[in-house]
Amino acid sequence: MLNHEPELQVAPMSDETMDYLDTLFAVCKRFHTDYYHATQKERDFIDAVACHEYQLKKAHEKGQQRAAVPPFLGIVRSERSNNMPA
Amino acid sequence: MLLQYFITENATGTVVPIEIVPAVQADLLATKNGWQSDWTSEFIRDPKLEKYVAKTDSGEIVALGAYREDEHGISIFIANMEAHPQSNPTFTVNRKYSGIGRMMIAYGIQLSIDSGHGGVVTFAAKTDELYEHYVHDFHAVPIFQPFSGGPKLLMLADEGAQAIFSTYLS
Repeated sequence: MLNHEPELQVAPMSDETMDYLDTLFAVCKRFHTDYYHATQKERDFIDAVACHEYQLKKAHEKGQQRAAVPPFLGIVRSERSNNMPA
Repeated sequence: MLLQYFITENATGTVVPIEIVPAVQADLLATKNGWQSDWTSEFIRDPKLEKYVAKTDSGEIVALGAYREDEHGISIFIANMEAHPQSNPTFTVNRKYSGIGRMMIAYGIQLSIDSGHGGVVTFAAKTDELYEHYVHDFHAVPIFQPFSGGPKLLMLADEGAQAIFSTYLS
């Protein structure tokens, strides 16, 4: 039986991916969301926030303005907001 | 995931989709016509305040909101928000629309996430009734007010903010 099981492996995880997951789980913690047991709607919200915050973080590290990051869920930013540091 | 703001027309129960965009001078000038506040005042003209207008598809202005990023990067202050006179409980008991306050707070939460403030918003309740409403129905948390007689300050964050914002997600 054991001989028929596929060899279990996981792909190597990049630093970038782990950095993203750090952000994702920080967002989960902040919103008190148990990602594993969350509804799809809750997970979609957490994913959207984490993705946005990760992009802000990367833009901040590069010294870019907020305009470098797509607006969160299509919000129409003012010029002033776009010119703020990410 | 789709984000769509909306309010409800009380007479018919119709859900009315709303678009919220940066306010232009013409939107602010409309408040000289019977609104509770004059949105062209010096206070509102503060360039640090981001002014947004909520409109129906037909262009009816239903609310204005003024938001500001706090200088320490912790939250978005909702400096002022006001429903149009037909739905403002100060002026009428038979409000044309309901859900305007929740929507404008949700927009503050969206601004807060967009600007890296994590969904945290702070605001002051205009009346004791609204204060109770925000605390009990929105799960807002009171902030200690060091100045006696000042407005009662509140904060919304975390799952309270998520619950309000998720109203408009599908």
